[in-house]
Amino acid sequence: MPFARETADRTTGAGLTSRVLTLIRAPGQARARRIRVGLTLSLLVAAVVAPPSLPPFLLTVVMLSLVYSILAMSLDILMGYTGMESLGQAAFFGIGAYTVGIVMTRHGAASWPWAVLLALGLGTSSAAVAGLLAVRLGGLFFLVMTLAFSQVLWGVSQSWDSMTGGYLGITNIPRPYRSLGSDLHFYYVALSIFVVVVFLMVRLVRSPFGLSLRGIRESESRMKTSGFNVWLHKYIVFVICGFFAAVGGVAYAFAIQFASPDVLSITTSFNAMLMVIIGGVGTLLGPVLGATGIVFLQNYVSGYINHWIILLGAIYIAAALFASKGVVGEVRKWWSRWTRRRIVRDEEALDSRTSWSVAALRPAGRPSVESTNDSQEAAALRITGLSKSFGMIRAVENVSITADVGARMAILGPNGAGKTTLFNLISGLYKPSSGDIALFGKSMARVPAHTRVRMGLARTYQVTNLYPTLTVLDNIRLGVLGTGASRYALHSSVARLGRVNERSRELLEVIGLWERRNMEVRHLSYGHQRQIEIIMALASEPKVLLLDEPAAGLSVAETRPMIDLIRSLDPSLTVLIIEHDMDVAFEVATEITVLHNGQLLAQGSRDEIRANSTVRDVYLGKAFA
Amino acid sequence: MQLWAFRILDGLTLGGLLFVVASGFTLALGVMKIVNIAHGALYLLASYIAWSLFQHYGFVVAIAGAAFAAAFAGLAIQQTVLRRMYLQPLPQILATMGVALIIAEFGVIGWGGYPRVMSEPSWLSGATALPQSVFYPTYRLFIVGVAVVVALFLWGLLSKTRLGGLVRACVDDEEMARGMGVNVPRVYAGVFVLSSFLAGLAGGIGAPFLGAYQGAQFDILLLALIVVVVGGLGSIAGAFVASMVVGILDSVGKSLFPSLAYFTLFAPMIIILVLRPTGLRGRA
Amino acid sequence: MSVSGTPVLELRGVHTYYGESHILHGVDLSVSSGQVVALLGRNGVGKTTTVRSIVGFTPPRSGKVVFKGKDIAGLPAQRIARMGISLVPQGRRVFGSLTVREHLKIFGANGGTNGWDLDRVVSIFPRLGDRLKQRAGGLSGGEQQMLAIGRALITNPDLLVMDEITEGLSPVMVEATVNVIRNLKETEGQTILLVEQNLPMALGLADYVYVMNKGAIVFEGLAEKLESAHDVHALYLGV
Repeated sequence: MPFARETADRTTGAGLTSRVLTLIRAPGQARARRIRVGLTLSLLVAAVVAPPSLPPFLLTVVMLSLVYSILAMSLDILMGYTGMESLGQAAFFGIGAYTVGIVMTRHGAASWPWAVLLALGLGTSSAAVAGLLAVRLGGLFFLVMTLAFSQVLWGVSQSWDSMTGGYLGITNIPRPYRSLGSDLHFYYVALSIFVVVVFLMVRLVRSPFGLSLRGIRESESRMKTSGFNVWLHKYIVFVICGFFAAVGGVAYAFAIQFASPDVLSITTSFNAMLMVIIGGVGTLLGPVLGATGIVFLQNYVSGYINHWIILLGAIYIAAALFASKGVVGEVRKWWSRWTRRRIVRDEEALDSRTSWSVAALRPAGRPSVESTNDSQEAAALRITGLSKSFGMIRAVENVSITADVGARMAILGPNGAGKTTLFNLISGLYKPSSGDIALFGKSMARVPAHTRVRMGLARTYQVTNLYPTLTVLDNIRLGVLGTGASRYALHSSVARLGRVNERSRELLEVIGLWERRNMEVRHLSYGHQRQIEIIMALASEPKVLLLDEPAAGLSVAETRPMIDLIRSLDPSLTVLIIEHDMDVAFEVATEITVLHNGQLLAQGSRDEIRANSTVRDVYLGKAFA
Repeated sequence: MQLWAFRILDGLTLGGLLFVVASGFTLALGVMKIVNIAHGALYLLASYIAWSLFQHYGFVVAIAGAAFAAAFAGLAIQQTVLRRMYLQPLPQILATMGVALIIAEFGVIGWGGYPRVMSEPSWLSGATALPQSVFYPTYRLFIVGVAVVVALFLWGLLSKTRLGGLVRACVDDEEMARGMGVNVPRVYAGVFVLSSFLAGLAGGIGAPFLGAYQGAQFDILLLALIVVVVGGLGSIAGAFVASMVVGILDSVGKSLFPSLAYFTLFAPMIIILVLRPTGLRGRA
Repeated sequence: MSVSGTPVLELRGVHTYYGESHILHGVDLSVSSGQVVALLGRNGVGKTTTVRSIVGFTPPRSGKVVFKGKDIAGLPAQRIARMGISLVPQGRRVFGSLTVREHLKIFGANGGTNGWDLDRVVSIFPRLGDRLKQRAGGLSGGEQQMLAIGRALITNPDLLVMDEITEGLSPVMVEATVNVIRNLKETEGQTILLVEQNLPMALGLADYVYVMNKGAIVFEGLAEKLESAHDVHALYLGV
């Protein structure tokens, strides 16, 4: 089995292997976990024990920190875990706060269950509505839309005097019980809410659904072609985060007993984002630190420095310029350096002596050759008259291809012939301008990309399209989860999904990367990454596999293991392969389809194509006199 | 009937002012993907400066000084901070937020916390006779006039001049523009300076109309945001139409349902977005 | 290595990466003044990466790119363009919202003895003359190709780099393009680096050829030499 070699600044050699392996594996992580747990427990103890001895102002500030932490963490899940940068969380926070304020001041302290339920209900349903409009947009649009949404709400809160109290807001919001009138008593309520929220969020983040969010952050296209309904996942998380933000708003209203347009102001929207960024994006703990820092700054510094807003402005600019990892990210970096756990760079090229454990490539539980019930089975893939135009450019024109079950077909053609466009059409990333694609006799006309995966289609990408900052194991897990039911599980931990983890292990052992499962996939050698591309596609147990230039960028020596891997695929699998490397194409395929200028130029067996003079002309060129 | 004429005219005035603001905003957004949160702050700064300059040097100097001060501030921002974050929306938005806070605070330091309303120049004060014996304040018509001039200028600049061609080339294919020898950083700087100039011009002519007050930086920004979302990110024509629509809706809404002011903007915005998610003239 | 005169362009030991992917493994080539040099090879061997390394889109990680005696490796692309290298890129990449006229007017640079301007470009591409007011995004593939060549010529370059310019063109258009390039070579003495997959076309135009495979030069020589080197054909160029 191949083993890891160390980075260039250390001596290499087989003797250090075991030391290296132990460095990558659990011990460093176990120690990190112990420290993290210890830290959390001591913080919790401090949070419970300290408050009675704190002066009232400081107690209020601590409560505010807890409340804003909830807001910041809700944004972190959206932004840090899913990659959806939003400036609209303050909207749901504000809806939560105002609803509680309005109901409590109008109907008295006893109405608090209604106040809370209504607040959470309104907050969540606003997120549901806003999500329908905003989630389908990406990047910049989404950012601007969420900002516009929260700001319009801010405007409404100022002008709708009768309901919201206008500029002055709502004051003297009563707490649910007389005994909670004391800030100290309410503090423990706030702390409990905080702990529950953190607990739920951690569960969410560790669940299969949580893993899917990180996959979406890293590569939406890969997620789609692995079987995930990306829009739906994004929508669900948007609504969940709206809910959490509303929880924060409810806590805020009770804690401060006051709700004003400030809660919805642009500064709050941005402060939430600042808290996440300086604390550490995608860490959950980071935003807590960020929130505490900003809240303390706002409440203490403003007393001492006259125009402290300028300081805040400078912090924003600094965060924009420098904070790439945030506080928690920096701490993690120092931590790994302190324990001398190096990122072991995988310098090794693919080893031609590796033997593949081919059995694992057979889909679990299925016989190796499909028993044919009816001999008139529909072709695995039938493309008829497929065309795709981008404006005036006809990328694919009237292409028809039939691939039977078990076919090994290579798609050849010069650059710009339309090969990758063809794959994008088949996998559902593009919609055809005309023509039809049928998978096992079923038309794919209205079938979205992720559903095609569940019907047995899988693909790899010419430009490596993995989830860069996720571990090797997580990458494969996502490949397996794409077609599994548990991808929507919000509560269970990924680590406990037996079948998923077993299958992931099987697949990784085929290419000998199980030992490196905890490495970030971007640190793997290029050759290994190309192999993972294929294994990921196999994870969904496909019946039709599209390989887009699997040997792209591989050295001559690395191409042989890649060819072996492809040749060892299950014979019942239908494989279409785009390749420029003629060696790979002719060794792996029995049928060839040649495209040129988006049109079908020739189709046939290897020998037929080799002998075809038109094909030769296209590749070698000939003066078209 | 006359009341409606006034409402519409008020709407056109606001719309005109909004267009001058929003055109600069959408320019930076469309060309460089900058969501310039400081755009409203530049407007406010310009209003303050115009108010101060007017007292000693008269109207023309006040407006010009305000606009050029904003342009200069924009250049400073772009060269010191934004230049390090090319085409990255998130850092740009955070940085401009920081700048907005700082500029607004300078406003407090320089002019105190009280609103400053500039007086109209004598030669633009009073009312003008319009058809149907409607008399409307001359200054407001002036604002509409400026908006039209700005619209024509921008249209001409972008579609008829060499500089406009360079800008469009950068938007189409930035890398290939470099390949053709275009000094892309300089083009970006120029666009941002123009964007800031427009914010300043709006601040100057808006000083007698809206006045300079703490909070204007975000009020104006919000309106610009709505205009840009409805009109389409990066579209000047869209911004023109959307500005007028928003201006009229706001004016009519405020006079018919004063307490629901923002709803009258909100609802049409939602409707338009449901039908056309990228705005009236936006590209996907 | 070069046939005649001092090289206008010389690549020495150029290594270029896309991220961690090592694409060019020590590329050496040179182009002399007035020469047409062809860079051949199948898809994916690194021809376009070589082009990108020369014009500054993807700077090399190591090695030298010497243009008119100066090492330009690592310089910003707009500097390199202004020094006299003009690119007709793969895929044409015309500016969709600019009209044909704007393409030929805006990027023009004075100087140089060639003296290309809009009128001269239209004289060799009459079809463009009919479409001066049309936006480039609405042109056909062949017309866009003509425009891309015209756009490059208008800067009066010392070195013209053409990357797979016959890709996707009808045979008639290919022939017309070949004639244009032949004209440039023979009448104008334009120095050209031609990156191609189309072997006969390249051999018909080039003085000197380089063949590339997997990121390195595997064959170089006079065009006639390549024509008779059938093993090279089979190994590196054919199906």
